[in-house]
Amino acid sequence: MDTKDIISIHRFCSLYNVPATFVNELDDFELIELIDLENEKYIRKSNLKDLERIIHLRFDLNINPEGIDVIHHLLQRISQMQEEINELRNRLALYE
Amino acid sequence: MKFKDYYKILGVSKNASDAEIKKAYRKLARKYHPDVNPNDKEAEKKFKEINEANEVLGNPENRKKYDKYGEHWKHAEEYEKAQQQQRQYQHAGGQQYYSGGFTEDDFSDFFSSMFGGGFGGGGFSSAGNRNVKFRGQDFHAELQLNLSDVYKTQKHTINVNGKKIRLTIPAGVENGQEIKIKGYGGEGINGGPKGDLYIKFNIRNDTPFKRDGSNLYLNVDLDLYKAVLGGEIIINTLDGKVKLKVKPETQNGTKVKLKGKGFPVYKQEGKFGDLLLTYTIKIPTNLSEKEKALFKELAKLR
Repeated sequence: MDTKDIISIHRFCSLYNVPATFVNELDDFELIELIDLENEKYIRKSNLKDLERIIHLRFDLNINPEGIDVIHHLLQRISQMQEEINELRNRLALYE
Repeated sequence: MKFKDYYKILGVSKNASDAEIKKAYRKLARKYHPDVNPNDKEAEKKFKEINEANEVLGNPENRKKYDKYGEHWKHAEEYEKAQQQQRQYQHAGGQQYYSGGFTEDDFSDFFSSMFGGGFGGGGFSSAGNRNVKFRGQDFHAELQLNLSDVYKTQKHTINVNGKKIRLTIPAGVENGQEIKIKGYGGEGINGGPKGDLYIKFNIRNDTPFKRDGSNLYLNVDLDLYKAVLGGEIIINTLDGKVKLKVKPETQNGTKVKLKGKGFPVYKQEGKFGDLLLTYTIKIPTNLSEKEKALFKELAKLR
């Protein structure tokens, strides 16, 4: 694996000022995927956007991991529904 | 510049306690936070407003100034000077703000006019609080195109935050579709990856066709005589003119499919949808006496 695409948990926690226990908690809830490499755990940089959102939910809105898990699923559904609404809106133009 | 009623924004009374303000702010922040309201511009606007209201009412010094001057904030300059020293001290600790990618630029003109910029503990993304940025900011842009433009793959140069970006827009892109251009957002910090650029397409229909995915629909007026006796018509498709035979005794509402004469299928080169025609038979009007007599004669024959 190309190391420029990943970031160690240690560095991540220091950059985002979050405790390491937070990352472990997310791992337990399967909200993130950790990569084991030479006895160190890493996160994919492509997952940073989702992680930033999780950080906001956890620390800004005081939502616990169970709640984040629920929100995560609901947001996925919202995204699917928004796509569907857009598709239906475009189709509705046929009858206008 | 309009006066902003921060008490109204947070839904609290003018004599609300600090705890009540904090509670109201937290409740509204949970409701309007952009991370739980994706792609919702109204929620984003509300979130900025409540953050601004909290910046003022959640800080005793700001609240005092706001309460004193309110709608007459333009005369607050003298007060500002007198309180400057005290204010510097009080803001050193900063406050806890909800983040979400906002910066001080997101404050209203009213706020900037009354409180100036660049204080308040650094706004939403101060170095002192938890949200130290690593990944670059995502940029969002909207591109207006005509339907006739996206019939073919297009090359566009767009300007995002002063940076020119060359884009290839594949034929057949949908109205409202958003594409992500990886790594074309803001610069990362401390070696962090760049953000992404999201472009949403707003496609205006400048054609007589109606579109459903890659299929196009068109109503075609047919005169009575051609419908009855048959003949030929010319249809203007996006691909050029097409000559079409009309069968004798064609009924009103008859549908005809022109295979492959529709819209390109997104990201499937050379593949096209169909063009579906619906005939509307036009009955002649303002008939002459002779025409009326002939129709009567025809009617007798049936």
